[in-house]
Amino acid sequence: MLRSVLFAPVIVTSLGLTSPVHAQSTVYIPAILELSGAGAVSGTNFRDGMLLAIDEINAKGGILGKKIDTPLLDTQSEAGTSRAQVQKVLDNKPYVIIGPVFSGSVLVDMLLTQQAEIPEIVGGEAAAITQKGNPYIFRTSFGQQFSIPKIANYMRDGIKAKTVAVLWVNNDFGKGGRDTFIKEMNSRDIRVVADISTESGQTDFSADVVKLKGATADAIFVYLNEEESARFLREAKKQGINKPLIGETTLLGQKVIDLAGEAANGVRGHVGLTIDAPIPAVQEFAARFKMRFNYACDHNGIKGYTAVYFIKHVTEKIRKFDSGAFAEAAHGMTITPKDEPGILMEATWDKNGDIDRISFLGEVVDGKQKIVKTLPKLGK
Amino acid sequence: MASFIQLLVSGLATGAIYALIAVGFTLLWQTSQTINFAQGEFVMLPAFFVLAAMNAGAPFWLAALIGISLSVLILGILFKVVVVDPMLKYGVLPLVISTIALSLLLKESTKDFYSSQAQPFPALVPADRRPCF
Repeated sequence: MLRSVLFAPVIVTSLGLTSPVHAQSTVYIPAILELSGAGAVSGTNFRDGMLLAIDEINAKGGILGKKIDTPLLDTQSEAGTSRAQVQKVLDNKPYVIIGPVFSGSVLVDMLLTQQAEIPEIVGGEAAAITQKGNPYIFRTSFGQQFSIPKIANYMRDGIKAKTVAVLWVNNDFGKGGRDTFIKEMNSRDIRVVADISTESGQTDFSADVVKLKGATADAIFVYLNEEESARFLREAKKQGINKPLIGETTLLGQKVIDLAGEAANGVRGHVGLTIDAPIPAVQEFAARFKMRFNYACDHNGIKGYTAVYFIKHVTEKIRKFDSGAFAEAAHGMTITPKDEPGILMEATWDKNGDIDRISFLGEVVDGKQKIVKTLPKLGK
Repeated sequence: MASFIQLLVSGLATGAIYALIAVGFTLLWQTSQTINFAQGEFVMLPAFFVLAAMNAGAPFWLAALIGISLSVLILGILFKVVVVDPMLKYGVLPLVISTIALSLLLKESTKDFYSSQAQPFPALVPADRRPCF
């Protein structure tokens, strides 16, 4: 008797006679992110912003009545591992995939997701991501082809630099930024007097700082990931570099400021996304994030948060969970905070999946990022 | 000349760290003919103990003492009792392989129970510049 009672559920389940209640009440949107390795700062900030959005949406009933089911998969900041994780999730037929953040991983993954016709919402900034004609890739971060020209204009008009040095990280993100930056400098007749590459995960920047000191540039453009930016800033302060250090979002990010301490003061640059933006919705998001996770997020947290609300809004517009229809509807879509408060700032996605929205010029003063100017959308 | 001296000092500092790591490996090899694949994690864990103690409000000197005590307990006594003593009777190779597992356990545990993000650590010496020449 006892044996029958124990075996009955096994038989029932194996015959598929149980109703898959859990599967029908959720929508499968896996997240593939850098949760360890050199990209852990980016990936964990993105993850936490994303989780905040998911909890908010699920608390209100989910998307079209279905709760969001987002398992987290760690790429370990390696493109090969990222690809394997994407292959794993594709076997379970996701609706949309969120992540990764590192451009190198995105460039590898998007070949698979394009083949599977699954939209991918990524945090990568390399220009190449949206230049390969992939209709299933979307960003919640500025592409380098939009952000770097803004920095170039600031170098020419604000700093009035005639010579610059560029320090970049040797990965897809850094190479793309460096190539775009040099092109923009050449078009503005600003001479690049030093072009210094560094490695992802590099800990010692003393030799690079010595080279920069010897380059006699009017300004130094720094294009590294978060941890490396902080290490570089500390070394630059130690060796007494007094030229303007200009960056793009990451260099002025909260995590870099926390890690670099006083060495971050005086850093300037373009900021695509920031919790210090003079926008009430962004500041309220920052407060909720801090309350939930007990730390101040950087721009990656905003990327993750808006990615989920982007998916929610597009899905509610098409009124179904159809990956192909999602990709088609998302191109050319403009979402305002009035339509979707979780989007925080008005954003438009173009035919390549690039995002356009307002951005900022900022400076780090006394350990805090200060916004000095708001720049309009390029499309306006 | 100034650049050369700067590079020399920075190089010596970095080299000293690598030498310290090498001393750790060598000490273990000379005494037990064993390679510890968790040596990197043995360096990481005390730093996190100190960081956690400082974030809980302890001054640096107290946090350092707490870190040292916990390290002796976990990486010394517990490691010997839980890993080394049971595995040693099977030879050196199983012990070495178990240090690989220990390395994964320590790394993933720190990631899950504390954080995988980089953490700021207070400078032990002032960060002001001291021109020598």
